Amino acid sequence: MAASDTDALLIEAGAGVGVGSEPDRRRVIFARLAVLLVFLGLWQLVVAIGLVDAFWISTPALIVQELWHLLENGALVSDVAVTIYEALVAFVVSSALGIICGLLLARSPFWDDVLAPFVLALNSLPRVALAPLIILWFGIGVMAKVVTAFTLVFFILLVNTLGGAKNVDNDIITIARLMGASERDILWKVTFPSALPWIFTGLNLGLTYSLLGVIVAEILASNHGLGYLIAASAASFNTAGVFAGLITLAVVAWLFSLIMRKVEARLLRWKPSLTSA
Amino acid sequence: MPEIDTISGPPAKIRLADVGIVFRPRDREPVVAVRDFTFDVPEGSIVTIVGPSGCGKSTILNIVSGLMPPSRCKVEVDGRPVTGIRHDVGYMFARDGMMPWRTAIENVAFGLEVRGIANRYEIAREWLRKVGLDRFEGHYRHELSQGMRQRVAVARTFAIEPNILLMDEPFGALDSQTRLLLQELFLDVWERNKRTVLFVTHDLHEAIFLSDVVIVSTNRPGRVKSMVPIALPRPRLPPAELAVVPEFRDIYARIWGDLKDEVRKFV
Repeated sequence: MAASDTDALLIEAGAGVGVGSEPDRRRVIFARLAVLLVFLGLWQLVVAIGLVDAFWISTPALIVQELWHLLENGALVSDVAVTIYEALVAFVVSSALGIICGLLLARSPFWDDVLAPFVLALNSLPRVALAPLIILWFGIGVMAKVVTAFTLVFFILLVNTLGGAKNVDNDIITIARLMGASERDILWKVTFPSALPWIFTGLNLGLTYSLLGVIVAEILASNHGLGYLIAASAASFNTAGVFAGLITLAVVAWLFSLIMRKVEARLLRWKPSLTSA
Repeated sequence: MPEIDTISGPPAKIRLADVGIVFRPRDREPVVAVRDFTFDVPEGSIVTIVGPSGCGKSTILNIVSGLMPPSRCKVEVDGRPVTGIRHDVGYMFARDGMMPWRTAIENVAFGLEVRGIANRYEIAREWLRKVGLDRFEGHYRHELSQGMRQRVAVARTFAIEPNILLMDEPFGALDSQTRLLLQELFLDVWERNKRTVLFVTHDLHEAIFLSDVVIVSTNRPGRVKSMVPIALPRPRLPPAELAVVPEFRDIYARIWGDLKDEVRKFV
């Protein structure tokens, strides 16, 4: 009785409004747009009725104008390109080195023990404080941005990879070894895939921090990039330019995390939580 | 000294002579886990050790596999002493040991992969079929039941065509019905190639159903208390049917008689 009744109920419930959870999804997106529009409307309104001067907070309309202007003269595209380039180079280099060092440390308990306090100390230091020194050393080019981001991202990946690699199921290692796996096999076919969920947690964070490091360095000393755009606009009291830079930055960061989540879902499809989501 | 030549027939595949194991935990008295353990596992037979918890059963498997060096003794496989980790053993635990990031077939193929065997997926697929999982080759660990995971472990263990099999309560974590099915499956697979098996369990039914010889170990320090040959014809009846055969009950009574005192000391 129970089974057929439930089926009938499900079909009835689904019939009126389409199938599955699709209608809910549409309502969510509609509500999101509504929230955004209300926010932008209020913003425009407080300036229109003279509550706040547009000099301080600009307006959505002015920002759109500014974005259009920056797109037309090509500044936005080249600034975005520079920032993305710097952030990606920093991300790839720092992540690769962080993962390799994490895996190496996991294999050597001695060096892990020796280096642990240094890693902790460096990891606890607010590394953006290093940016002035790094700019002093590397100038205002790409290198200073990459190095600033590296100081952030490298340790995130190192710590996460090490944590994951130490958490490998011992039964699996024992079985692999008895089946003839070499140390190299164990590293790449057991430790690495087993640590991958941890590594991905690090990569997600690392991508955000890579962008952060690059932007901070650009704001401090640069003549290209979104950080430069924001800093230069603020210096010339162009709040619309600052917001244009911030919005573009938000879009870039959002795209980064979107791509990251796609890659993660693909590579970690064996994880129960990810496949069901 | 227990009689060793109660077993006659094929030569010893695995031989343990006066094996002693001492654990030396830091800051504590050393613990003698096993003392003077002596037995042979003849080629192509299944020998099972039963004994109270903590009598060093699992430790003996670790020594035969070379995972752990014995404190004192002689352990031989194929007439040669065990000096380090062996790569020719199939090892099964109560935990399935499946790699969650690999599908069922990739798990079965792992041992073949590290040996560089090209047609590993064909072989793995064939073994999955033998354990009845051919429709689940692309499934990940979390998509399989506990019984299916242990069947993957059986396939993985046999797929490398191990020289010897070491089984450490491989079905101990399963519910009792699944356990009966897996025992039957295991024996069915074993009948086809008759590998030499050293098995460890708490379960007397399992021990009698599978084995040619059951070794009863004493309480710690573990010693061989008795060796009971299981003269039931092979292929064996399914476990549920075998359990009501009079010969089975006699053997069960005898082993339980030996084991009871040891377990009682422990409880």
